[in-house]
Parts: sequence; structure tokens; C-alpha cells
Amino acid sequence: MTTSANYLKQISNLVPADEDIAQNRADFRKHKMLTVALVGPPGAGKTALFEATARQLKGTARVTIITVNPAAERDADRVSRYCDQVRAIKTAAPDARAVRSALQQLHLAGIDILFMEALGGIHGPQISGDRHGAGCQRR
Amino acid sequence: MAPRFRATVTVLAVSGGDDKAAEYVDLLTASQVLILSKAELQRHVIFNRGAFRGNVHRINPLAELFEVSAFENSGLTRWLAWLDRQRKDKDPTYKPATPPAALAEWFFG
Repeated sequence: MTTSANYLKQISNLVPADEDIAQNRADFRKHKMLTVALVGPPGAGKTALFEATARQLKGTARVTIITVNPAAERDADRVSRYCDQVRAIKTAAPDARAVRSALQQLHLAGIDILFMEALGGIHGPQISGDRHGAGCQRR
Repeated sequence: MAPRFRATVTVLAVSGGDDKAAEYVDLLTASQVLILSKAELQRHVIFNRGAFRGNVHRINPLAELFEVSAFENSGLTRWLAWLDRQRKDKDPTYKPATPPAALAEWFFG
């Protein structure tokens, strides 16, 4: 590795978000959970889709959801009867730290499928470090 | 590079209009699945299904497109089968169990 690449690596390690990103990914890997992000504009039916999905999966998969939006608690209440664990993040666009704190409150070994429901503004890089994350810019 | 969320699923509703896929190009490009939700509304609103599907295919030819009605609890079979495949890919020891309701839908439509 060249000196400059090394230097860049060291610098990026100092950014707290990267630490959260790495830990989130490590958790996903360690517990072998399938992680699925449900994204789309408001009113697209993400919560209803999740409800229908979780209802069907009951008994065949332990499902957990992290709901992300300014009224996340309301959505969390709505879906709580269909899944094992629910966490709400009250923000429009989650960053890796918010997901990190949600993961820390969950019993990770008890998750087969982790859904995250978020508005379109969810960016891959903020969650796990992928540089080609999803955006939701209108064209 | 380890995966982020393994799958990104974009949800767009019939009520959003048949041009929605073309509006959210970046999102659709980054998705493996597009779910057209509120599918039952196609009977009640003007929605050019061909145009919508054409846009999806043009923007992301690899994306799977599932039409689902959570209200009528229909169209879920293929989506659930897709989830099942992802679980199997993730963990080869996983033994898929066919959800009873999905099986019923398969038989009875």
C-alpha cells in the first residue's frame, strides 16, 4: 500500500461514522441475518407491505424492523404485533450512528430477517460504507 | 467490500402514478427489487401498466418487479419466494419453509 493510501486509510478511520458503519456490517455478518431496506416516497405503502410480509412470515422467520421517519413511533406501534422486535428512529434520513444505536437495543441473535423501512433519502454510504448507495433524488 | 443492507427494495404505489419509476431513477438503479404496491387500485385509476413496466425495465433491467396488494393480501407469493431465496443464499444451511398462506395463494390464486 502506498504511503498516501495508508494515510487516507488512517484518516478515514478517525471519522466516527466509519466506525459505526464497520460495526453495523460486522453485526450483520456475525448474526447471518438477511438485511432488507424498504425504501420509497411517503405514501408508497412501505408499512402496509411490511405488515403483509411479516404476517406471512410469522412462524417461518423471526422478523425485526427498524422504522425510520419523522413519525417512526407511530409506524412502530402499527407493525409491532406482526414482528418480534421493533425499533423506531425519528429522523428523515438515518445515518450509520442512528442504525448503530438501534442495533445495540436489539437482540441480534434472534433475527432472521432485519427490515429497515425508510423514506427514499436513505443513503448506502451512511449505513455501511458502500460508496454507491441509493439516493432518492427526483429527476 | 462486505454488503450493506443486502437488498434494497423500492416501493412505489399505483396511486403515485405510472411515471413514478422515471422520477426515482437513482433509487431504482440501486435496487434489486421494485414493488408496485396498492396494485388493486389499477382497477380504479388511470395507470398505464405497460409504460410503468417499460420504464422500470429501461432504468434497471435486472430489477425484479412484483405487483402486490397488501390490502387484498395478494401478489405476495413471488415476493416471499424471493425473500426465501435470499435467505438461502445468505445461509446455505437454511431450510425454506413454505408459508401456509402463500401456498394457499399459489393454489387458489
